[in-house]
Amino acid sequence: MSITTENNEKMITLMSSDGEEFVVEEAVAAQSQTIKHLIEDGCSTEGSIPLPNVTGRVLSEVIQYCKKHSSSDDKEEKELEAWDAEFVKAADDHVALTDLMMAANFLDIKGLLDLVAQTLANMITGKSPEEVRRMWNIKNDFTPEEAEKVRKENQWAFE
Amino acid sequence: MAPISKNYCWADLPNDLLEKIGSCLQNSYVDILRFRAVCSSWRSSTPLPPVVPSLMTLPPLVPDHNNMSHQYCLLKELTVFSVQPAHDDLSGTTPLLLRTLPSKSISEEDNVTPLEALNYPKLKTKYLLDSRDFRVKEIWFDYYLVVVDGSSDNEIPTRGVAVCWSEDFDDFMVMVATPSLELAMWREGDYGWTFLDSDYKFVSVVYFKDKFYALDGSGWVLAIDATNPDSIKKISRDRTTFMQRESYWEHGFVLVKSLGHLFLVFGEHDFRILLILMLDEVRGEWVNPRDDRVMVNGEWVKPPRDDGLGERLLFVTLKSSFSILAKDFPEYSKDNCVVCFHKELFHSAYGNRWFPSYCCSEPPSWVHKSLHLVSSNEESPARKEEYIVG
Repeated sequence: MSITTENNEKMITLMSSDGEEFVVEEAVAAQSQTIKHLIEDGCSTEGSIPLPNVTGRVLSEVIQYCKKHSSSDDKEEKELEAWDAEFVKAADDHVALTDLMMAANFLDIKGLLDLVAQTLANMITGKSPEEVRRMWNIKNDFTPEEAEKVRKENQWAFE
Repeated sequence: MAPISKNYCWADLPNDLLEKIGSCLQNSYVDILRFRAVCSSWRSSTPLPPVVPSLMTLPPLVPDHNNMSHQYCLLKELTVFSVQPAHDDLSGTTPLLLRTLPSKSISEEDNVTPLEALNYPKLKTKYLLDSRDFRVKEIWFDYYLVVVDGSSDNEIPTRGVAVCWSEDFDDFMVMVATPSLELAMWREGDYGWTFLDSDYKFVSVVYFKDKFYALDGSGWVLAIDATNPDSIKKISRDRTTFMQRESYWEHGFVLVKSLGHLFLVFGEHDFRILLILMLDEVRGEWVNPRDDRVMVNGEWVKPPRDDGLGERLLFVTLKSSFSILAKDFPEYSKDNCVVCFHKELFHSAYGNRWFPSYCCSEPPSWVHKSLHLVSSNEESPARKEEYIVG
C-alpha cells in the first residue's frame, strides 16, 4: 500500500504488535535501518510493514523521534539536542526508557539508541548499587564467591 | 525475539544493550565499579576498567645523557569523589570529599583503593568504607606530576602541572612548574622538556581556555598560547595588591580554575588575610570579584559577572585546587563567597578580611558510625547480603 502525498512524498504504513497502524513518510521510517532494508527488499509494497516486536505506544514515540530527526538538518544541532533532552524527559520513567531502548535496538536507529543508553546511564550515576536494584527491581543474584570479589573491588581506604 | 510489551525490566536487557549503557559510563571509573556491583548480568556485560595510578611516563626534567640518575617523571590522575550515605535521612548532610592518593600505587594484594579525606583534614584514623553503601560522584579531575628517582623510587612532587589534550590526540602538551620553580613544557614526541628562559619563579600552572597560565611567586602571570607556545602574554600584577611588595611567595599563592573563570588565590600574614582575584579575559587583567564597579573607557560600570565567587566553593590544596558548587555543601554555604582550605597550605585560614573560609574539625557523625577503622585488628564485619544461588 503506497500512498503519495501532495509533495510526492511516498508514505509507508507501519503496524505495531498490538495492531495499531501508523502512516508515515518513507524518509521518516527510513531513519530505522531495519525498516529501510525492509523497504529496499520490497516488503512494503504489499500492505503495511508489521513490527511484531514494538507496541503501538512505543512505536508512536519512536515515530515522533524519527519525524523530528528527518526534518532537521545539521545546522539545528543545538535545537535538536534540546529537543532530545525534552523527549527523553517525557519518557521519564525507566520502564518506558527500557522499552524505547529495545525498540531502538530492534529498529536499528543509532541516534535514538545512543540517546536512551546515555539517559539510562545518567540515571544510575552516583546512586548506590542497592538504590539501583530497588529502583529497577533487580535481584542481587551474585554467588557468594562473586559477591566477595565485588566487595573487594569496592573497598576504599582513606585517612 | 519476544514482543516488547509493557514493564520490560532493565535486568532483562540483552547483554549488548547492557554493554551499551556500560560504555556510556566510561568516563567514570567509580560508576563502572558500581554498575558491575548491581547483578551478575550487569557485571558480565562490562569489564572492569584498568586502574591507572600513573597515566604516563615522561622524560626526566634534568637531562640525563648517561642514564646515571635513572630519573623520570610520572604523570598521574587525581580524582575527587563526593561521598554521601545512601540513607534518605542522611542525604542532606555535607558529603565527604575523598581524593585519590597519587603518591601511592594501588596495592594488588589488599585490593583497596587508597584515598585521602579533603574536607576533614583532621581525621586521624584510617577508615575503610564499602563504596557500595554510598552515593559517590566524581566531582573533579586533575593531573599531578612527580619526579621519580628510579634507583630509590623516591617521588618529588612538582609545584603544579597542566595538561592540554586536544581531542584528536595529536596534540598532547604538558606544562609543569618544576620543584626548582622553573617552567618546562613537553609536547608528545619530544625527547625532553623545553624550559622557558626567564627570571620568574613559577609556583602554579593551569590550563584554561586554550592557554596555559603560569604564576610567578611575586604576582606575575604568563599566558601561553597552547597552539603557539611562543606567544606569551604577561598579565600585569594587580596594582593594589602587589605594587608595594617585591617579596616572593612560594606558598599561599595559587591559580584555581572554576566554572568558566580563572581565579588567583593569595594568602599573606600567615594566611590570615586572603585575597582572591578573578581574571578579566577581555582586558587581560586581574579584578577583585567583590568590586561592584569597574572602570571601562573612563566610566564606572557594573561588571557583567557574578557577585563574588557566586555559587563556587574553592578548595585550595598543594596537589590540586578545584571548585565545587556551594549548594552541594550545605555546611559551608553560609555566604555567597566561600573558600575552603586544606591544612597543607593554610594552617590558620579563618576570619580573613574578604572571604570566609572554613577548615572543618569534626566530620559528620555518620563517618564514625558507618565506617570501620582499619587500624583496629578486627575483621571487617560481613555485609548483610542475601545471595540467590542459582
